[in-house]
Amino acid sequence: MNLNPFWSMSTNTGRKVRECSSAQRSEFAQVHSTHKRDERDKPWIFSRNFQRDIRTLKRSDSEEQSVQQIAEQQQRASPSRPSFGKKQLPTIPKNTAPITKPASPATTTQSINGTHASYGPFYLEYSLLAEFTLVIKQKLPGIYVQPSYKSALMWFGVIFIRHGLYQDGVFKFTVYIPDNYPDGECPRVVFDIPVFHPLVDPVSGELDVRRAFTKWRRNHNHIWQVLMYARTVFYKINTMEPLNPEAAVLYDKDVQLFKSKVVESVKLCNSHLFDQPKIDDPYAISFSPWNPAVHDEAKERMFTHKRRPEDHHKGLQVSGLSWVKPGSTQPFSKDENSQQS
Amino acid sequence: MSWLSRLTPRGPGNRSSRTSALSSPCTADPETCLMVFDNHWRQVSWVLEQRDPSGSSDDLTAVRNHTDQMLCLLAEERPGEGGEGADMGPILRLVVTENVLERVVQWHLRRGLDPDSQGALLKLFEMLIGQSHQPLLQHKAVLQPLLSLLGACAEPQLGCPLSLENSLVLLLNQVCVSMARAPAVLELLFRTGPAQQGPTNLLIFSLLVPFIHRDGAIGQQARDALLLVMATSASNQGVARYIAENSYFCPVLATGLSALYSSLPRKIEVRGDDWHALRREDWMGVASLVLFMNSLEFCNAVIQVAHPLVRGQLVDYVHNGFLVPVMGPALHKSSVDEMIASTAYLDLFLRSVTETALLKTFLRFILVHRHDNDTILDTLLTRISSNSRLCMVSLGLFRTLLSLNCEDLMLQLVLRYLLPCTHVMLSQRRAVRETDLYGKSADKFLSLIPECCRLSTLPPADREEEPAFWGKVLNSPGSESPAHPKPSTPSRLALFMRQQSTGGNSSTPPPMETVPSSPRGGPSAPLSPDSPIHTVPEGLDWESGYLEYLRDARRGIELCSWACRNWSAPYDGEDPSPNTAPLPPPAPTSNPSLAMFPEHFSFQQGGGGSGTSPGQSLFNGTSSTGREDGRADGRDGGMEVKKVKRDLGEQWKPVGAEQNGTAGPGPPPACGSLLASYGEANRGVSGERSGGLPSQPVPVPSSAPRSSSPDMLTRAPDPSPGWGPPEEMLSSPSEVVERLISELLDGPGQGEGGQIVPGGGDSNIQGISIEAFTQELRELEERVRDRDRGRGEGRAARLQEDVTRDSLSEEPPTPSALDADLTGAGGEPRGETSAMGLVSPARPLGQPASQPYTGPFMVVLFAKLENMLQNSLYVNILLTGILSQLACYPQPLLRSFLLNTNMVFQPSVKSLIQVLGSVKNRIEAFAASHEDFPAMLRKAQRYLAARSKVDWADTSPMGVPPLRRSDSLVKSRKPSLGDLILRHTNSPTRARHAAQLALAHVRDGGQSLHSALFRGGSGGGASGLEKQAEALRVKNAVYCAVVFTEFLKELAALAQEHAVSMPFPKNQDPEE
Repeated sequence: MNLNPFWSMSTNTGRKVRECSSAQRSEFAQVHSTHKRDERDKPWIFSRNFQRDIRTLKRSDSEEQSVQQIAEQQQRASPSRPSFGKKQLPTIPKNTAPITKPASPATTTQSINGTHASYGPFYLEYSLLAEFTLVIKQKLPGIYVQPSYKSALMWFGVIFIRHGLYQDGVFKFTVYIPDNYPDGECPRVVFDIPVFHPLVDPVSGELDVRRAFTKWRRNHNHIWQVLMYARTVFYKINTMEPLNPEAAVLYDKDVQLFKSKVVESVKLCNSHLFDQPKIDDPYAISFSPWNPAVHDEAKERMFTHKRRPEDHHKGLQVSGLSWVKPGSTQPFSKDENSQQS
Repeated sequence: MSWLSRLTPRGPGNRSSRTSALSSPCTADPETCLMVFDNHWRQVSWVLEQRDPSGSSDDLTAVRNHTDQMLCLLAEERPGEGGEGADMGPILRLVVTENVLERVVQWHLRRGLDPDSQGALLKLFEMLIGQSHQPLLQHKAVLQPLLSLLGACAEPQLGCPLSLENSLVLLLNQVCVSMARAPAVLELLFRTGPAQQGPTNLLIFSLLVPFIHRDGAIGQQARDALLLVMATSASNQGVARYIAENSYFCPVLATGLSALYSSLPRKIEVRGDDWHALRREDWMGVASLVLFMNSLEFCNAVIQVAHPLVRGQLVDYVHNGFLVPVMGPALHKSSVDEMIASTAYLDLFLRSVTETALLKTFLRFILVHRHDNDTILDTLLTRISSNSRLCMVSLGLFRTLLSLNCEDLMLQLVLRYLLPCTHVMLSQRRAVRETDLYGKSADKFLSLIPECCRLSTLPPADREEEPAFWGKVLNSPGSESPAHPKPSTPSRLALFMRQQSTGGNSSTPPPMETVPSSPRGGPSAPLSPDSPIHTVPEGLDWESGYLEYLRDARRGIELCSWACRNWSAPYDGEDPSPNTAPLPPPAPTSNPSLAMFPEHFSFQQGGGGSGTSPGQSLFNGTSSTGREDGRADGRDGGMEVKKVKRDLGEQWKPVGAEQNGTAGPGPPPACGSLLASYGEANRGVSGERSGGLPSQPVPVPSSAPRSSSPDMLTRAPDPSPGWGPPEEMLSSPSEVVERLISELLDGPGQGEGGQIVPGGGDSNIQGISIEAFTQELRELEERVRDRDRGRGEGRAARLQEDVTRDSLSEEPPTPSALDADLTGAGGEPRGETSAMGLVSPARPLGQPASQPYTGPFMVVLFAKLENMLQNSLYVNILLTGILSQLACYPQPLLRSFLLNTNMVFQPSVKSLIQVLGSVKNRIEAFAASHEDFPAMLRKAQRYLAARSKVDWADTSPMGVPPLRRSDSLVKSRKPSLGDLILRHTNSPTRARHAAQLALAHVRDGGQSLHSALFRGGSGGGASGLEKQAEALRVKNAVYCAVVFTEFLKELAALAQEHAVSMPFPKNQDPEE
């Protein structure tokens, strides 16, 4: 009865990890020391949000509010939503408190900003979901993200630096996506611990993303690009208009000192690796030392896992037939001998 | 299929009743048994040793009695200690050493086997083999007499009397069962045979074959037994070769299908107007069909278990002995009833076949086999555009086909037309792979929901109206009808449960529907057993309804991409490359004779004046070098035509010629309008042609050609993909013009078509080209028209050809300076493609000439969809179901074509969104003209929601594949909804009459029933028929509005889900 909208998430996280694990096994273990249960439940986040939206709608309905207000309210509401005790997929129609009457027909048919209002929530959710899918498809090396439990607009991430000045750095960060995505500013990337880097604010830990995405253009800019950028800054150091002038100056004037400061910073970050996540969220990425009792099994599962459709019944009917020879566009061009049995 | 379960051999216990009758009282210790046995044997052998074999009947009785006792003892005996059958029991040892059985059998044979003792022996052996506790057949002393007995049964003079067939088959069945337990026996049977039996050395086998197609239990036992032989011999090359080469097994099996098929009903008694496919309960009561299905299932099972050699041979025989000679002609019968029946049969067969190899044969037959020059697929496609039942049955068949997720099928049906990417504006090519990231397409689909359909809730006053009008009409006996009739339309109907906006009466929680959009949504796609049963809240709102669609869409897409994960290519607009994709057959604008083209070749080479390289025709050159060349060569072609015309005089002066005079090298606007009309003209052409009239390049009223004239598609695409020159000639100019215009708009420098020829950046060329093109367009059109007409009048065509050749060879056209220029410019690419041309003949001829064409399937589906308002509810449900099935396919080419609403297509290509837009307008126009539309709409919604509940309730024993559902026949006998609908005139005869009328119209290729009925109306004194017809029209329109709205949500959900779906990795193991 798995109804989650992205079933694929856990799988693909798994796959990504597999890909990286040959490089850095410990890395893998650390990442997936996060809540095992959460790992399973996590994909339902978006469904949960649906439910939330519907609930919001319902409330607004009773208050006879307009749809615009609903939208605003819901966006306002998102950061401070109470967490749900039981992580369970809301089988939407069942669990949702029935909405006796949606906004009056007139309201329903109204369009706001060219968007059919009542479907609005789906669009934002799906846009972010689509962005997340793109991230997965990109298979960014050494980067892992996970949308938060509470809001689709907040993603937790961690980045592993494998060589260069910041080698062995493991930096946790959070991506904040603007409410009006994809029409707003570019997403913000804030490191949990301000890394010593010309482009990272030494106080807030925020990475200067905007310089790379001066104007966020829908269709052209994607969140995976931001993540990619967040990785690149550690390999290619740019000192122009720095957020951390000290780091910039040092890099230009005294690389040795810069290097030692970086090593210090990396050490500091890694020493806080096992800290509790900064933001209290079930899907926040947390690290723990390798515990064979927990992690061996999880690792095994991830490596052996094969994704299949939710309700894939074997033997229901033959399907997925192909006798087309690769490279050909003629039917039945495949060699008889290589034909599937 | 349940065959494998039947393979489980019957245990000895099954026969206990018979055992007790025969068995001797002595189940005592082995010693005693042996003594008793020996005693019996001594008495028997005394009789046997007598000289005169034809002794008295006393002898016979004595032998029989003793033998009975002996064999019972033998059967009861436990094997000796120590090891699996290594040690024989004492009785068996005696039997082997004394050769007891052989002697008994030989004695019987010597004295002449009368049916009585033959039967007794058969039964004895059957008992012995079926019940023995120790393996017997590996002992020659048992096997040999058995084979002697069977040999006697196989002898022509003795044979096996009818009365003994049961015993014989049962014995054979038992032999096969023990053989399946000890495969070594097969080898023995095989080896032991030759000495006596010559070529038919696998005696059990040849004895069983005649019973393959037998009715009842005996046939079933024979098939079971044969299947056991098949399974046992799967790894035995020798036996397999024997079966394939020396037995008639495969031919009997396959041609038996033909025989059985010929006894199937030619006409299917149709119950409801929603009937469109044979469900199990439909055919369980038809004996001939049951017989056929048994044999087909047996074929399927044999293919499943048999040795590859046998499998291959059987598959071949099914193709050549059943599909081609029987199924092919059956599908092409001229009577509509027979078409309906054969289509429904084919659909049923496809749904029943589970073995890949057999399915492949069926698909190969459908896709590749040509019957009267058309592939079966083409023929089936044309049927969609017909009316009423035939259309529904055909849609049902295509739904089945689509649910196979077969690459070859999809390639032929849709993808090959999209592969060259000519349907997209060049600048849009890269957008093919884009998904609906921000819900824009979804939004667009949803925005098409007509205003008049958006009232999802009602004022409370409205709810408690009098019992629904629809309810009255549809359930005419009224609510007293004890049980809801069971609709046979797919559970897709259940989708309306989501729209129970009128709520109120839904006290029972309607369960979740069964994947209406699932790509494998058969007539009753089973609900996944673990699916939650959702309670749909009353007064369902848009959001939660939509959520269901999203979930369905996700499931549909996921299953589909899972199924397609091993396809040979992603079909994303780059792989396979649009440049190397062979050109698909062009739109069915004309049907040229193949002979024409070679003549052009010869002329071209002979004339040699045009500077094209040898081996390339005019159009060859065009194709290879892209648009500039196309233009140049097109011009050549034009000249050619002019000469023909001159030579032939005004005799065949086409309409285009007049136009030529008036319009001449028209200004661009004229060109534009011509262009606009072109698609229409093309659409209408075939129909007009058949009437012998020249097609007019004037805009045809859009309704006329598109309304489902069955004729429209009977002119299927040219059979040979590569060799359809005149079609391409015809389509070429318009496409060239379009391309030109689009490129002028897009800016220079963009090549088009399969070959990218960027040489066209020269603005000079572009400046002049429109006029030139307009001119050429006309000329080419004329030429094709001439051709076409020529074809109509056989001799004339020949004459014309001669003239053409003569005149042309006399004065080969001299390329203009421009032409030369262009030809030169394009020289290089041309060489390249001429090489390709060798590989695919389609290419050189077709490339430039082809007008973007998305294939007959899309065209016919869209045409049908555009006509939604007139379609019956059931047609619309099937139609939208098929489209959403298609929209589940993850291949970007198909996905973008259907779901990317931002994509800009070539002007001649109709997009789904355009079609939907036009439906929307029609619905809104209809709603505006009917005051009571909102009320009717609500009633329709309420009715559909209620009906979907019935549907669901009936199909609720889920997890059973559609075909295996053992619904009671009684249930299916209940009057279906459709009966009731038709009965609303209170006159069954009249209803039948109406149905016949509808079919008659199909046959005549006329309008649909509704339009036919209504057109005549209004004038007369409103006969009952007219009123009925008007009611039908209104009903269809209102239902259409409901279905349309739901369909849009479905599409929107699919667009959104595609953006978030993850592909499955290739070549994952199909089964774990």
